[in-house]
Amino acid sequence: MSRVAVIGSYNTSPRDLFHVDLMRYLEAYGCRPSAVVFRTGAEPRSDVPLNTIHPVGDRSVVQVSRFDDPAAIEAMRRLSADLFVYAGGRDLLRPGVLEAARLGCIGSHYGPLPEIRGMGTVEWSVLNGRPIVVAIQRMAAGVDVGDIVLQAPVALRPDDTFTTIRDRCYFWAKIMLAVAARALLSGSTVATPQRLDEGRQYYRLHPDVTALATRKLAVRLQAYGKHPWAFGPGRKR
Amino acid sequence: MPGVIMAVRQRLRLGAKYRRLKGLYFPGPPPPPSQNTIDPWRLTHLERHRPHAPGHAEIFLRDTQGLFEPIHDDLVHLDATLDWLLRAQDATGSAGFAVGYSFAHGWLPAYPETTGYIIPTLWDAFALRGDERFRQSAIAAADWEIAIQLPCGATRAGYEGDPDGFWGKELVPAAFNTGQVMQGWNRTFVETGDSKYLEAARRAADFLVDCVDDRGVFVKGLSPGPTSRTRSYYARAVYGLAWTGALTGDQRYIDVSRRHLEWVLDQQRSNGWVSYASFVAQDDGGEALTHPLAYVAEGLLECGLVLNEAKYVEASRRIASAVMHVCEKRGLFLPAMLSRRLTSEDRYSCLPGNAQFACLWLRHGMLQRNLPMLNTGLKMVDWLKGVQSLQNENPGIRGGLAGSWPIDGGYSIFIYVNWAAKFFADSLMLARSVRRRLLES
Repeated sequence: MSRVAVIGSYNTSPRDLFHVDLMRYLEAYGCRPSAVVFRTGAEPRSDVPLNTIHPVGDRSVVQVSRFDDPAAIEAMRRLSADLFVYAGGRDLLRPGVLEAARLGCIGSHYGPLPEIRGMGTVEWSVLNGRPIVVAIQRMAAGVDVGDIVLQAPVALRPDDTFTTIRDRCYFWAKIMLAVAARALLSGSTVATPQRLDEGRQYYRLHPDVTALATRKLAVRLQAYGKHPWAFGPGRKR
Repeated sequence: MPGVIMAVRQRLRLGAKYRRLKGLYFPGPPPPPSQNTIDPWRLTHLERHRPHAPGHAEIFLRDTQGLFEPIHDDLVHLDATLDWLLRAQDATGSAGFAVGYSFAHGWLPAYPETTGYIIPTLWDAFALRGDERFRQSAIAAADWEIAIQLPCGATRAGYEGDPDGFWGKELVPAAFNTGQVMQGWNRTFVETGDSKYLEAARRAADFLVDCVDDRGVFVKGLSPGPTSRTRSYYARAVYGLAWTGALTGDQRYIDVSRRHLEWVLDQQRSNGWVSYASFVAQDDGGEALTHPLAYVAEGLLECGLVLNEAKYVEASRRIASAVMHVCEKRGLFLPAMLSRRLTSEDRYSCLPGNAQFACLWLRHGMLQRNLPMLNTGLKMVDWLKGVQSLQNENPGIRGGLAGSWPIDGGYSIFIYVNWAAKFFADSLMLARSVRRRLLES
């Protein structure tokens, strides 16, 4: 039985942690998480000790203040996980975390790899005329330079905005993390190293560049508005 | 006071009854899927369909979220569909067309039945696009069908190498498949003038006429896959027989065709529905999938035109019209299965059926200058464009059409089937012609 542990920022009771949607998707797809390593993003919860494996039924949680804290990394190692699944956020995970599980740690990225790495990647994808993609990578030290496990372009709606697209990417990423986790654990897929020279790192956008991306997105979405169900089944345009 | 209570109760009862009947006969469109959420149950059986393989995950996520692809000109979608069909042929290495691309198994083996009726589509595509590849593909497929024709003249049921074991390994002569393949031979004879194709069709016709009893019911050559024992959807096979009769002048073929079609007419109910239009129904009231129901309507229409018999065309129009109302009342959603009362609780579509009815609406719309039917036909073609991925990195998916929408629906689950692509290509060519006529009128 493979052991999958989730790393993420949550502020909920230890028991409820295993009912958030990512955990449910992982479980439904045959990768029941055995542990969750979490930080609250604010004051630590008083009901869970820091950097300690805290049992919850037949599973366990570890509360940390920072993921790269040596004590936190030591607790993660003691989980003996086969794979960590990073639920998402802006944490730069250090090598100690990335090596704490046998198969490393997978995380998501919203842009085609290796072409578009870094920040504002949904907008940069549109600016570069590239599809908006959710990529699952085996995380490595560096910004979005990990081996690629799975990539899928995200379907759009005619009334999309960058906010709704990012929300959709976030949802797709959760399903794809479950798919990638099981594929890696079963050995049915192999992560492919990125050719970094085929892409570049992008940074936060200036408002004027964001405005240009918004105009380009509107052009791209026109073709989606022609579908009879463009605004929902049976709804009038 | 008790009178008031009774009146209120009565009103409540009537209201509940009205809502129940309304839900049964005029159900609205399927509820819009909740955004950014999914019932975890739908993930439980995903593993064997390899969602980690290139291009698979995006189709599952797109469909389960009720999202669609961008819509382009008819020819853009047509070219992509035809390219998919050519890839399906290349994949088998035999000139027969692969059953389809399965998420679980990849490209499937060649399917004699559907290869036969893909041939006329290729000839139409050649006429429209002038691409020599389509002519060569049609001829190679017609030759392959001759090479595998059974000594009795029939085409076999199922296909060799079925990874799911649905068809078994026995080589069974199948009347339905034979009639479908005859359409390919007939058309290739018309296009090339080479008599070997008509000779093959004649041998097949000799087999077919022996399969129909005095009532006009097919009692021999029943494919072992479907479990129904009485089948009105064989009207589409009879189209091949009637056409061969017209080409050869052999009256036996015409007589047997008419005998079967008259029996099919007897199965039609006042609401347009036709009994026994089902792969599985054991009696005359069983539900039918839109795909075989469309086979009945197609058979009646084509036979009506070949035999110059208006009542067959009219019977076909009645089916098409009934299904058009079902579809429109649900906000352009065509449920996969329909009961004899034209009701359905299905929340998925059978995409070959959708494409076939799009063709039927466009054909009847043009024949009878029926603008509402043309209108629904064009909308359905646009709807289908939205489930065709033109950019998918997987060549088994790019340009093809799945069996079900959503992809995990109940028909040919997680398979892009060649007959969906065939009927979609037909519908795109018809839609192009209709749009031009509308512009000119």
